[in-house]
Amino acid sequence: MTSRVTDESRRRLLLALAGTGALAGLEALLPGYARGAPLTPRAGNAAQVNGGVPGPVLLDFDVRRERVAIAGGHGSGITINRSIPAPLVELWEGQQAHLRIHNHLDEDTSIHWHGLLLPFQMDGVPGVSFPGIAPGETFEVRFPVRQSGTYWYHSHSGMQEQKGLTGPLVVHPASPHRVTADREFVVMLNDWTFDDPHRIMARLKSSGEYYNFNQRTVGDFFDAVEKEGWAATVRDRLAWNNMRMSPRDIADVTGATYSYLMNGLHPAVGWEGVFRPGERIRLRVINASAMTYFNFRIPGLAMTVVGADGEQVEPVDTDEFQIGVAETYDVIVEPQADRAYTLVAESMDRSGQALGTLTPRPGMRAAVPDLRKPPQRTMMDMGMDHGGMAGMAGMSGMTHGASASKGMDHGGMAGMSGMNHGASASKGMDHGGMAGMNHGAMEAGGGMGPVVGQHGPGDHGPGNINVAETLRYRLGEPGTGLEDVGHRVLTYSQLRNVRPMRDQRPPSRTIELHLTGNMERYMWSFDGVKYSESEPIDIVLGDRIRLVLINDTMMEHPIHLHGMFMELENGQGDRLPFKHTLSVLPASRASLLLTADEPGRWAFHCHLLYHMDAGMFRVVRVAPAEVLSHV
Amino acid sequence: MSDSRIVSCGLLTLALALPSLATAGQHGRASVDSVIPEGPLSAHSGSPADWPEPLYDDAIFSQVMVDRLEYRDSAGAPNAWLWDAQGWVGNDTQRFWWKSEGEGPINGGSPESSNLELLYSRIISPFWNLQAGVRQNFNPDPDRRFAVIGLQGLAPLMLETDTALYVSDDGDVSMGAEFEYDMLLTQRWVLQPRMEVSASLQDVPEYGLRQGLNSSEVGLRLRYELMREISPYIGVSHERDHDHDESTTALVVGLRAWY
Ligand SMILES: [Cu+2]
Repeated sequence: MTSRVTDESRRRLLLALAGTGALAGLEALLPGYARGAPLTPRAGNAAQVNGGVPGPVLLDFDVRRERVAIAGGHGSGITINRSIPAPLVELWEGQQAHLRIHNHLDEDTSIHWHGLLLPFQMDGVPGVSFPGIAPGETFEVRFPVRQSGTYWYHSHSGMQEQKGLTGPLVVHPASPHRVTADREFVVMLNDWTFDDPHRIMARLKSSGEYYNFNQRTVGDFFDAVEKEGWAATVRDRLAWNNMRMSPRDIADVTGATYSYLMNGLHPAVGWEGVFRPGERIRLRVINASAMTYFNFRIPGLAMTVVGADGEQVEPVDTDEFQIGVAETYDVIVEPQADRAYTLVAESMDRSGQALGTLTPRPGMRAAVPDLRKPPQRTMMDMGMDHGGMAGMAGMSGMTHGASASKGMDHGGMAGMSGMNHGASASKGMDHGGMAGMNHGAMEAGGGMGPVVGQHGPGDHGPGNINVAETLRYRLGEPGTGLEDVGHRVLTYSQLRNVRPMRDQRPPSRTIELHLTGNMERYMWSFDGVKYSESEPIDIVLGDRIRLVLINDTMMEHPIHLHGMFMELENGQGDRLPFKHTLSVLPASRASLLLTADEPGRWAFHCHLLYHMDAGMFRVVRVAPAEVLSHV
Repeated sequence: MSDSRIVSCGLLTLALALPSLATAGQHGRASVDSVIPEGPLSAHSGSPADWPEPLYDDAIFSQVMVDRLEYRDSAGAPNAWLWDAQGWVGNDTQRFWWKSEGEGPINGGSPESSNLELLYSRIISPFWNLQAGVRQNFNPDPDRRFAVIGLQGLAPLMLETDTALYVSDDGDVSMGAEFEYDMLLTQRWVLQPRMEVSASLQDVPEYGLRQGLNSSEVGLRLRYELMREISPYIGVSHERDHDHDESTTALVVGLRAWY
């Protein structure tokens, strides 16, 4: 009887798979490798969310390494149930999930359910929550589903997520959606490479700029001279060269090796979702890539953001958003016209894009925009700007000493006085009057958030190149490269929870962590300390804590806590949005609140795969004080 | 999907799930006793010590770099070949490092000069390695051995720098330094000025060395990165032997390669 149920579940998965192209007409348009019997390994995946009748779910996951047709070629990948990406999993809030993972690899594997609340033993991090799944073994995951929203799942072993072991996961709510939709699609973004991820890591250890083919050249120098004159250009070059850093360092791994996939399909094929004009469509955008931040937009179609990291937020109308690795956003679109729309997910460094189409008729296409000009880092990303630091006032209680700027004349700053730890600045702080901040690197445009702190003493040792001396509140910024795009871009400060905070207690403790790295040696860490040199971070069960993240490096890091949601202090009063992954901008200081109500050993790490594997990882241990004191 | 199937599937799954409810308890939360297991624990994860670690951030990596493997066409001197290679094996902080250089005439005979250095290297700041070890000369004086202490890294202004102090087994002290700078003409065409000097702190008559600057070389090489690891190049090199007050200029063609 068990096997019958298993077969049924398998069949359901396969049906879901076929659903990609549910759309039989579309099948014909797909290249040969995406067609054929459902059981041949292939790329391209269920994107249509089916829903149906609530109930417990039993699913089997067969993990294999095999040759797959993907990204216009053939390569070795890790499939689940013969598919890359792994199939869409749909669960129901208030019901049981029973997920069985069968390891057919000749190495250990694991599956982590990213963003799900569950007993830590089910969380799927080898060496933290369980020993891992040995070759030939089956691991059974069982938990009552306690939430709803858009999530995903991926391997936490041996860089397997880079080789395809990632899949979308949707949890349907127990009660009807607040936000209704006529149609739902998953839009899962991946960065695929035919290379061996271990080789990629080895190359990065030899040369951190191995994949960067957008470095500053002699030609760029003369262009800058023409625009800014000799003196300014030479000064700028000297400044960067003296720091031994590059303003063009946007992504460690780029389109030089990656193909960017949307729902498993590369841009030349393009994923396709069919709609009827006038329908409300929910897109569940998941950044399941290993290393790539994406800028997501649908030219000609406005989006309403209704969910972030699986949790509901008050609707925000926007035209584009940046999505960090491992984040998810739910957006509603309502295309009225009988035309196709291109879904554009451009990599942040603009070395490539994943593409798809929303179309009223299969095969119809809309224009595909060119890649925009790659962005550059500024001295502000380095925390090196010392402008406007005079006349600090009012920022009582800041860990690094008060440092708001008088020179920055904009209204919102008034709200900063007396604010606890300064990081919860108000929404009113838009990038209006940054005039007083005029400093060479300011022309990045869009403006940077206010200064909220100074780095303390200490440089975090040889594993850290840069110390961000001037720290900013940057939750009001659209993200690198989106400062001047000429349309609305979502910012973190716009995210507002639909529900008030459950735990109104002030935090009893602050944990401050610096994000640190050495690009030259490809070392990544917290506070200059790698995982292998670290000890667990202990938090007393039930405590309310504040987590302060200070990014000393010149790049974004998507910091992920397993097992518990964090509330981002973004100025939304008691409606702070929940996050499981927070992208922390360079030279910024962000703070989060956390009620530690889930006992366990939880992984806490940068979700850039190669940063995590280089040691930007910690274990957070949550238990009653008397239990922790016995360690 | 039929409703009856859903129901039977549901009942069955619930039955299967019951044991896990018992262990999980507290509405799907883990029991507090499970956080700190019995027995020896990993210092980093707090998990049982016999589990694998979640990641191995102290792994050993290696690189072999043939910086210059070239043919030198000199006016007024015999054409020559040259190699300049190094490599390392180790983790982020500690590495075993080797370096070797050699030069010789194209038309037969043994190399004019060649040597091998074996070094222990340790990161002392984000951009710098402190290195210590031994150097063995094979040509022209195969009996010469040195103790080496050096500093290798990336200097401000993006200068690749390799400096070393040598003490011979006779107690003579000398120094060597190399500087390279990569100027990107395009993403793949790279112009590399390079400078190398060696100096002696005392006269060493038996080896023909005078106190002061012994030799220097400036070069300019233009390489094309077919891929990061493989770049053929052409260039010029001007060498000066200060002890004998001779200098040669050579056109060079060669290959830079690493793995
Ligand atoms: Cu990171």
